[in-house]
Amino acid sequence: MKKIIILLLLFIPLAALSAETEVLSDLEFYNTVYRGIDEWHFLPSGNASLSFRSVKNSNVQGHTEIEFFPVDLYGAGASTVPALNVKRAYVRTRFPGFRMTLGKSRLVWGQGTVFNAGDVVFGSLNPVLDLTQTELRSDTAWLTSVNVPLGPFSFVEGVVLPPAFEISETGLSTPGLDKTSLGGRFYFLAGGLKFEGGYLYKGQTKVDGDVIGHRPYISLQGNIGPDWYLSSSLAVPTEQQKKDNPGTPDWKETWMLSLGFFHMQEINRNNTLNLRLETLCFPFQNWENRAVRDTVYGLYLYPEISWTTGDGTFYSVQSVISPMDASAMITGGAGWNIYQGLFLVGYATFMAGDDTSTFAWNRGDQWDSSRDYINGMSFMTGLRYKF
Amino acid sequence: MKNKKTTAILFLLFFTATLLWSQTAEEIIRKVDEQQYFATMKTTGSMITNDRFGTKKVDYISWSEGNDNFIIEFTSAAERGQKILRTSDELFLYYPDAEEIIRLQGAALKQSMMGSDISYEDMTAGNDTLRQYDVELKGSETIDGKDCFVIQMTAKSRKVPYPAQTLWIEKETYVPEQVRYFSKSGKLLKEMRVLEVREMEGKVIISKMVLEDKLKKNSSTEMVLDEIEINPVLGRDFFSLDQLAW
Repeated sequence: MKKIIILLLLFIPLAALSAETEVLSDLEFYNTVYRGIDEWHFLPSGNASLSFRSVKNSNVQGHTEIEFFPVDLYGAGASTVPALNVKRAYVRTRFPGFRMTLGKSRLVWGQGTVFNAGDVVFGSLNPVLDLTQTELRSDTAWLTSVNVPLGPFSFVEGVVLPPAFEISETGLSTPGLDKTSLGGRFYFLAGGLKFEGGYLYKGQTKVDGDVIGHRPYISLQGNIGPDWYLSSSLAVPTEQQKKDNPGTPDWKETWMLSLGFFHMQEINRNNTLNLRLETLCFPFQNWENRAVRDTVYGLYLYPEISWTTGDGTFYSVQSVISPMDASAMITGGAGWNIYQGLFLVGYATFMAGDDTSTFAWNRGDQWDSSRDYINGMSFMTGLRYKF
Repeated sequence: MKNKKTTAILFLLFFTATLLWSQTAEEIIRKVDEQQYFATMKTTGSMITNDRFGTKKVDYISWSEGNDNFIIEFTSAAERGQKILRTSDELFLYYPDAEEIIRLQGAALKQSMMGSDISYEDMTAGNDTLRQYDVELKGSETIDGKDCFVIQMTAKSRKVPYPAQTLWIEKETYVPEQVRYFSKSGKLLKEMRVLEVREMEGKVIISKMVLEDKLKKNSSTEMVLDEIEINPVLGRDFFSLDQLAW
């Protein structure tokens, strides 16, 4: 009897949880074979996340998402520190006339799948990324945003991002107010075009390739047969930022433009051909091959072709191309939506380029074990399941 | 006396039939549109897609206003939180994981929604049929024991999803019991059949229908409305980016 009471006590909170929270699991598990610096390797890889969302309420929402790190999924974690990442944890609430989000969340400014010069909040610039991911840019940060609708298709939005703790030899330190990021944007439609623009004072970088300073941006979107989107931004560092960070680039070097085209074409009413081309241009960066790893070049391209059939299969070829150093990463993929929520997927990734290029077939003595894992190619197959 | 009564009944039947026949195709289509028109509407339902690997069920909640404005939110696990906002001029998608609103234009409107046999255009191909199609009454036929008008519709422009349609409209309720959708060359593309209707607020609403894609083998999508709310108060600017991102 006592055991039954204890069991009941254990399950009562779970019943309450299911009544007030929607729980979602997202699992991606792969078997990966890849070429390393001196031999081939076979490893399990993937990702798992648990998401808890408040049941729909017209005025308040809460969302927490926890990600498990791949090494923990197959029991290889060597660290004694729990390797969990709180990807999202925020409360969103609606007041008369505005909406506020507070916590760890994502905010997308500008437009672009891989390259988005308008994304001054997170910075969608780094050409080295994993093209097998379902979300190619998914960075989150602690922020407070206020969105004020001005009409059905127009709004203004303000955001403040407190600085993250800095890790130094003496431990964690709290950065000063100047590391805060603060800004706003407007968004409206006119004459068939989307107009977006804004400004962010960026006191601290959020992702690799990100830059600090005064960061104005504009973003436009329209249709000329294919949908097109164009964004531009720059970063003007303050004198203090230049003094604190001697390597901070000049505003000219940070001026960037991204231009994208996207077209969906139905073929035989059952199949869809998706075509996307994005370019990222830094007019005042390097326009010649410098044969030095990590050089920022003047131009990058992202072409993508995918074919989705009516019976739930898809095939894709994506590539990030760095024309200035004649290198590229090419990922071919295929997937099959067999049952509800379940996809069987497979990817093959190849790098083409010299050992000092952005992408290299063989890194040779340029190998950096802290960040290089794949040398030239990898193959993976696995399952994705959402429930 | 008996003969007079019989004559009267026959006259009445003939008069009724004449009245029905005297309705023009335009009048019939106008009544069909009226049946399906609501100032505002909220429905909770499912899209059940059947193919050779079994059944996939996508649950949703939708809100509509008149002919043009429409929001659908998917509530089943694999698509939870994804939303579509369709107005007469605009199509926006919202992906909750990316927290991103994407505006689509052009050919994207013709694409299949969530892998079903229904396109974005189908969802809002609205109740202004006479503006989009020339209509012609072809006669009467019986479908599943129901006496129906047969109406042939031909698109006035290339902006509509289907160049030609044939509708079998029940004479009593003005519900399109069966619709066939054709390509410009006359090839049968899709067939819709009504499986269940519900009477609400003096109107007959289709609560279950099946749409078969005739270009695919063994493929059909059932649309089932579990809950229907007529004329809910949706508030000003409900069909907006603010609501889409909520």
